[in-house]
Amino acid sequence: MIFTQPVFFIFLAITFTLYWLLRGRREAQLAVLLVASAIFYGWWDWRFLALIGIVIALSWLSALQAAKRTPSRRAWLVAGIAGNLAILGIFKYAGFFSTSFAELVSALGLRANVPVLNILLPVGVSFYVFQAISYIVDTARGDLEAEPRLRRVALYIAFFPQLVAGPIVRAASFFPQMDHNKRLSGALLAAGARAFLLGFAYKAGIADNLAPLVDPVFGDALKPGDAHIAAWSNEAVIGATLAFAAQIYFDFAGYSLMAIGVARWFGFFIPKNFDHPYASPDIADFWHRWHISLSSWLRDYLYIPLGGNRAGKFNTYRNLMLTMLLGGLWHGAAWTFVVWGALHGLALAVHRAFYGRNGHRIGYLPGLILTQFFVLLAWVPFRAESFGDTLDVWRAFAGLRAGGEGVLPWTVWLVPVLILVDTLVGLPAVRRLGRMTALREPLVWWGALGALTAILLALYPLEARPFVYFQF
Amino acid sequence: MSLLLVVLAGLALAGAGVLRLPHRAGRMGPALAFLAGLIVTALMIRSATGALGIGRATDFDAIVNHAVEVAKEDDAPLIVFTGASFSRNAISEDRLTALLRERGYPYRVINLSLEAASLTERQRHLDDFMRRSPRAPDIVFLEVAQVTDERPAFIFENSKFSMRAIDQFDLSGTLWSTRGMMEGACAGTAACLRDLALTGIHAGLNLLNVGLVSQGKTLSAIPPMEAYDGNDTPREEIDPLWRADELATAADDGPVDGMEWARTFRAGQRIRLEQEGVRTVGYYFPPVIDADSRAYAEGLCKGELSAFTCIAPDDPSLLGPLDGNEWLDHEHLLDSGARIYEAWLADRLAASGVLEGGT
Repeated sequence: MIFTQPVFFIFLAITFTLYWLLRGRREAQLAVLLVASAIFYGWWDWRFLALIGIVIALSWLSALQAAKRTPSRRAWLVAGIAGNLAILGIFKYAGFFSTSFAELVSALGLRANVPVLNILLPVGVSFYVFQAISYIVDTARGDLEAEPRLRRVALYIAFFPQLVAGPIVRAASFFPQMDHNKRLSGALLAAGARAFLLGFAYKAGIADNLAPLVDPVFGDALKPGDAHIAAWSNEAVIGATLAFAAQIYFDFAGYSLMAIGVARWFGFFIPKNFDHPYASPDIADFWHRWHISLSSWLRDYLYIPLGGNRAGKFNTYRNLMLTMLLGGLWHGAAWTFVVWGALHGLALAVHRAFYGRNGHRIGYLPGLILTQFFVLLAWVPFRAESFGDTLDVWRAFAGLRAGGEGVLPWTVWLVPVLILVDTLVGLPAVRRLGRMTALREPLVWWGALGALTAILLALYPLEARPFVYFQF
Repeated sequence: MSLLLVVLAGLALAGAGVLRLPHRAGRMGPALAFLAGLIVTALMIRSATGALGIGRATDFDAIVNHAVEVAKEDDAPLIVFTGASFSRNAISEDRLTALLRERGYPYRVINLSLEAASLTERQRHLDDFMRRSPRAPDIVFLEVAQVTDERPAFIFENSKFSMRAIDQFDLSGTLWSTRGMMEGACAGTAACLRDLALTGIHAGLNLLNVGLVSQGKTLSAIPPMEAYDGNDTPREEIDPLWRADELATAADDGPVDGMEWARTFRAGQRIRLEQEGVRTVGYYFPPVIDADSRAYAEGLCKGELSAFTCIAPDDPSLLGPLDGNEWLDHEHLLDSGARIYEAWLADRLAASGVLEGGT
């Protein structure tokens, strides 16, 4: 069940009605959300419920024990983190590492019978495992009190709006909201509708309509071995890369906004996950605006524990590289993701070496062009199926490739216009337009929302595509 | 990705991005304002796509495109067969044309049939064909099947929330289907309620243009496709004893009148086709194994449609040769079965005298 499928709207309507009918009975409301979350997740495959159940039980128990001032608290902390990472390792990376080891052995001319594992990847496992780890660590650090009620920990980890693709929510911000007995108001509905509709515009209006420009060149992301890069002209390959850069942003940011909107309708506040990243004039700024919940997670639970920038230049660069390498691997069990992470780690290290911690110094526009060109090139290994394809695409950018005959529609060159529009509406001056009294008149506002809904429905691709980040 | 799509996407992005939160208000006013914004914009989008010639692209459009190409090939009088999957698997345009010409009739056969096509959907695409064809068909044969008469929302068995299903429930399709269902044209109370609910949802999706810009196309951008779907391999195992028994069962139920909604629709359709220049309107039903389904068509030919040329398949000289491996499944023919039916149909058409006026 994904946010753009008709079945989700039926599910949402039922859950919403039950939830608000129980207003004033907070535990019952939370029970509705927990059951709805189980149905939402089990919709993919009911067996996934057992796995998330283990993550919840493990996190609840280890956090409870790690928060106690006893000698065994450290052991519980390690067990909680290791257990969660083991689940992630088995379900996400076992196949990858076994295949890589088999290929390495074979490349060395040795013969070994390495079992190749094909384990079904549970949707969203990377997200909820990270969320669970942050809860355990926060309680062990004493930043948060351990929650004795299993059902509340379960709802924190499995809350359906952000269960399968984030944003990765911190327990410290989520748990207090479970105690707030909110009233269903027009403001709540409007806030949810605004976020959901903007997300819908990103996902169904733009990202899904960019897929037909990307998939023919790079291959269907869900069908490995489907790429036909050689058949396409250099212009088409560059156009498809540009379209992918827009697709992944609008797709993921769209999902995040829809998650924020849905959560809002239930009275929960989830912080934003994207902040116009393609307007970043340097790579450090980019990572403050792109997938904010993951980058802040990596900062707080990996980069800083590794030592951050506190132990000299070399160690700072090493920590940046390690954090981004693991961040790349988090995205997918393939070496191409590791390369993507390495490129960003390297860029962050170079930025750090030249400019220190404080911003860009080559001017906004040159910085923007340089940064975004790098980000565009770095998307290639992220999307390509192999290193061979990656190099082929990079050669197209450099004009060092003969190229095939396939061409894309000329409208692919309008993709940057959509990114520009998105960036412009994020500018403070444009945001101020939205605060104009006339636009905030309820009849005008709701009428405009109706008009936008009509436009988005016309743009809605009927064959709902899964969100790109679901695979992670 | 069309230019219209980029423009609308940019507009949506800017609109949704600029909107801040509204001032506090009551409930009724905002709800009505939302509905007004929704419907007025939907009508504007419908008008814009109509002006640009953009519509929902379905296989039926591809079939019409092919039919128009065929009609333009020569000046032969046209005989059009339109129906659902029964006809799509039973009539090859080229073969039936050749069979008629062997018998001395210069007609060019056109097959406008598609799986789960409702009566209104067939009529809409027939209209489209007639509007674009260089000449009106001389004869139009309309498939009559129990399933489409008694289940106007049959498409929900095949697909829901698809471009095709949404396309079927335009205003006319919704009104006729609803009228049929109100008369009981559905399989039981639960199915009726389900079909009515789904019809309402699909009509809403149609009205609100869902997917129209993202997946709509101009007719010229849809590659032509011949309707005939010849198959050599069965997709269903058929019990030979049951098949022999059913094919040997004669239809002796007497005259039948279709449900009132279907009768009214057919009467209006005949008048309209004749006004548009069609010389003769006839009816037919391709063979199926199930004796009851054949009996319905036979009964219509004796009853409601007795005043018209009506060719039902309940003839031992047709069904006897079909008692073998000629079936794709229990209600659709394989290519070998279609050849037997076409030869029989050519004889029946010739014998009916309906072809005489066009020679």
